[in-house]
Amino acid sequence: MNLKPVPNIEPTTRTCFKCKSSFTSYLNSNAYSIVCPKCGTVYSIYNNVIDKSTDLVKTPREGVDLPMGTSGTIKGIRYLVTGYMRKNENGTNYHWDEYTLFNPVHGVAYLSQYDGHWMFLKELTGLPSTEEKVARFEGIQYDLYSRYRSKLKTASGEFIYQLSSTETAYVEEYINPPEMLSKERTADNITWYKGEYIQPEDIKSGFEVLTVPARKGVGMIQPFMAKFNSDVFRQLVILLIVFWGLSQLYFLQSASEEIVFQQDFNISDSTNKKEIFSKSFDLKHGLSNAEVKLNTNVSNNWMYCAVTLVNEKTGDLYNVDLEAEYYFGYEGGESWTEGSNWVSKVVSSVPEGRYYLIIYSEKPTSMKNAYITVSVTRDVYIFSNGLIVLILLLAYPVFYFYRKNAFEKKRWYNSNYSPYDDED
Amino acid sequence: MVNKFICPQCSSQTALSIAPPLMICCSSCGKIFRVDAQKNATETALQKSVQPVKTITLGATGVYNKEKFEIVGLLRRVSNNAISNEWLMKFTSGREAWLAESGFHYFVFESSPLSFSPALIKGKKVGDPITLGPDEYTIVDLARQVDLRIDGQIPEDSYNDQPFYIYETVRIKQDGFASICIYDKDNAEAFKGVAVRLADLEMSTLSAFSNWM
Repeated sequence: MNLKPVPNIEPTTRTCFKCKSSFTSYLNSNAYSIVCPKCGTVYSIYNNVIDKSTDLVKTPREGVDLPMGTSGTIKGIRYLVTGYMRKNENGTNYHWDEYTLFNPVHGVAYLSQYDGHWMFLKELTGLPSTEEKVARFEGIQYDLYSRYRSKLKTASGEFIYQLSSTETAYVEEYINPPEMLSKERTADNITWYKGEYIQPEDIKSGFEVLTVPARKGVGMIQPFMAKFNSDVFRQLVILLIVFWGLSQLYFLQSASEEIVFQQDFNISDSTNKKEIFSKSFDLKHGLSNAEVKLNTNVSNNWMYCAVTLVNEKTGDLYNVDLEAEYYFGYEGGESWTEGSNWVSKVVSSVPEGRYYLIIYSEKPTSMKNAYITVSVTRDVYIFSNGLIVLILLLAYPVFYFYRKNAFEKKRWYNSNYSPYDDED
Repeated sequence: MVNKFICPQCSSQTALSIAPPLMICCSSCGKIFRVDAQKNATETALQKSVQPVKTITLGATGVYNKEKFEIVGLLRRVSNNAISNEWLMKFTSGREAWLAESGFHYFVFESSPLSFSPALIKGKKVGDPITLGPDEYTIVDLARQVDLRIDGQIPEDSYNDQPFYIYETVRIKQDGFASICIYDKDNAEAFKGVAVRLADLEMSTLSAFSNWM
């Protein structure tokens, strides 16, 4: 524990009138109330003397995570721990710890710990607006998470207000993780706080403590993947999709799609299941893809062609299998069709050069004459490539948002105002 | 003519920063005197305030709205539920304002009190709206003064150690605060203020708090 001398703070030793034990005051006249850590007597100290016992509270039986007088740093600001309270939701067993932090320049702040989840809170001087299940402050919307009455269970240290063992506060909590707004209302006071989630590691390192309570479940304002900003990620995904769309537009625009070869063939019984050689043609513009397309006159029938693209100079071969089948009919009062009388395939990375085609055709014997047109188009836009890139780009975001949704359901599990209740 | 106060108790001299009638705490012996318009001093049984946070002390200087000021007096008010400190700011132009602290939040009250009818707040509770001049406010705190102490120099009419009720209000939708003091069923005043950050006031005392900045 870090109980070192703290600059500009002059601790004084006080003696309890009732149990005679000694304890330390760090705030002195800046505090309104101070609690004897042994017997729990509450004294007024605002005139720098403990002259009046005002109440009696229970004190913590076990050691607290951040003892009084501990100095630490939160969000770059140094604070001294001056007060501790354990509160519970009135009528339930839910309880949490609240630490009062003091900085002579920046004032008072609070650390709240529930199930190993820490929140850093500061009192607001402005007033959020509320309507039904929403609070708004500085242009940001917060959603209602809980409403309950809080009650003091134990306390120790010093407080800048009159500490009461019996007073209950009506609390409303609104969240926009990793931030929240909390409204505490008593008979004579309304105080709004703004809080933000603090990682347990930041408590350990900031206050130089060895252990803090282990985290259980999902905290009320715990961020999903803390070092990962969901909004930034969402914008990044949108940016990627826009970039993908633009790049596809570019590929579509820049593809020349030049038909460099087209020839008609009559496939009779004599040429069926035999190789036919086409006339020669040129493929230009370096290395690029080539689409081989087969158009047929199949009607309630099929046609198969094995097309080989042959480089006259190198003898390199590029094979594509093309099968066109087209069926149609009328059943149950409705027309139907299936398949198509044309089919194409793209051969990627075909070098420039002079080529011809070897076409091996096969048609059903029931089909008398088949007419086919084979064409070759150079440098075509391939949507399927773009689709694969898009699927790869979206795979992680889809996984991320799926997991985030599950995380949010857990977050709202303890709330009576969960937006996920209707789904379950 | 040098405006100074000679303590009838210990004969120490203090330069007067504000015009009488005033309340003054002798910086040497700590006794508190009432000084009337003719500069006659009468000892009171009042108690000197304890020194609150040392970020603001008597004699400290600062800047507000580009004008330099000096802290010349302190009213330390204790209510049934909290403490507030009000420091008198004396600007180089001669005007005065109050720098108030409550819960370590700071506010400057520059304007004169608004006349206010106690009937307007009768029956109101925290959370209720209230109109002050053209502005709507929400009541956020109700307290009763139980103790008042002073230090330095303060105008006599600012001193009221009688129990009275204080309603703290926050302006709706805009920055701004107002304290409404209900002295009795016929007398009340409202004071409008604005929130300030201590670090923005360039207080001369803050240099000693570099460890906390």
